[in-house]
Amino acid sequence: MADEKSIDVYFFLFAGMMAMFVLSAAVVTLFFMYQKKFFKQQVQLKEAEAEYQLKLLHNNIEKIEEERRRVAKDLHDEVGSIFSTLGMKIIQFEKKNQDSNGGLELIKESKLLVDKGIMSVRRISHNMIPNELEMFGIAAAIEELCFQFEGTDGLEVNFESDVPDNCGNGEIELALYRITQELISNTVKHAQAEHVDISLFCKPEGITYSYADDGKGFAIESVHRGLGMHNITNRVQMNGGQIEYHKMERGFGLSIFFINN
Amino acid sequence: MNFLLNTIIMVTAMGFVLVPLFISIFKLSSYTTELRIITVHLVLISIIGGYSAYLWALKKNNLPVLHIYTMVEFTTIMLFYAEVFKEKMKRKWTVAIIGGFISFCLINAEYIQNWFVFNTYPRALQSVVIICACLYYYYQITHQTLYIQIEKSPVFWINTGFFIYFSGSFLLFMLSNYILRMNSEFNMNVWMFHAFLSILMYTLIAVGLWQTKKA
Repeated sequence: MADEKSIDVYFFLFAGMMAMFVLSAAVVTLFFMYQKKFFKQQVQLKEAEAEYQLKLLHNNIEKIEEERRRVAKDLHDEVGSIFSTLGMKIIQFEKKNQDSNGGLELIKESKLLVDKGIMSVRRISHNMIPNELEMFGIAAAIEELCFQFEGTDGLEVNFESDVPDNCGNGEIELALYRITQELISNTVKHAQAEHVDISLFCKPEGITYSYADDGKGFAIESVHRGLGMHNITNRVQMNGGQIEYHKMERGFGLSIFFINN
Repeated sequence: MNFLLNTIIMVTAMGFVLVPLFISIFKLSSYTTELRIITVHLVLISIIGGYSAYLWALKKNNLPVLHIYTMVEFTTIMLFYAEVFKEKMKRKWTVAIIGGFISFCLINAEYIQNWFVFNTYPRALQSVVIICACLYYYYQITHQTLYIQIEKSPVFWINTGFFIYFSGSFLLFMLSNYILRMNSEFNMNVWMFHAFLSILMYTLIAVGLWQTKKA
């Protein structure tokens, strides 16, 4: 009887301990699987959100470029042609009224104003759509940009490139052009720099772009706060590129890399 | 031969606490408060366990040490959970739980059971309280809005170690005085299973203490 009782106790204790162990292990396993599943879902949700944001950004930038093209075209075709016609009318008027007193001076001033208007329209529409980019490619467009800024407040701009007419797709070229525009404009406005070095290389593995000035620079941590720098980062990410801001003793610098697909 | 094997397993189980202890000492500088409490827990458990093993080697009754061990173990584990649940649990509750448990242990040792027998009541109560704390931790994790990579959380591993150990040993803690009167071979087999649970717990704690990066 005592033996039977002992066996019952053995069985109860062993089976009980085993059952408790298995149950606790099962609880932990289920909990672990539940957590992993939700973590995976959360990651997927975040990835989908990021993808959506990128698409939204892509769409926004595309719309902005489209609008710029339209405004530039309207400016050039409509306002530009009105100014041209006005200029011709003034010349006709000048020929007919050679002898009127004081009128000649007024006509000369009007011609000067019309010429200034034509120049302004050309400059604005050119800034909105870089014709060189479409006609001669990215290297020529950046070179033209450098030429425009060269000499502003004593700034010296060096541009080095081995790029043929086309490098990468049109969107990447436009992004690089806009980035250069933004960077040089920042340097002129804030950096008090004397030299700017820009390089653009198009290799089979990808496009490498770098920019550096010798101005007063700024903290790398504040890069993401400014809207201009934010736009630069967005344009790079939108086209699947990588951007790296350099820590420099003096000045500001960055490198951009687009992998060739 | 069997006795020798059993002794080796028992000693291994007792000495296994040194594995997480060495890891924690090695990585102590990077630890948060709850992991530092676990380090203190391991240090105290190792010292008391070592002294208990010394008495066992001298063939002296080491059960009074178990009473002290239970109080120290419960106190440090509760301090660990107080730190884990610091946003949910008030400090006075921690003090009340620890104070109440130690008082119960002392009353039990003096008046209810005896310093020289297994303290089954405090051990069983300790298991129930710790299992509840473990389950509450799992409940808290499932109710947070931001899911984490749980396998990189040290607290998850340590909590799992405590949960499996105290769940598996609960019946043994309740019946240890009762089975002591029975067949010694059976006793040995049951304590072998306890040794396995103990090794598993310290392995899980060691894995937890190894994870110092944010989950």
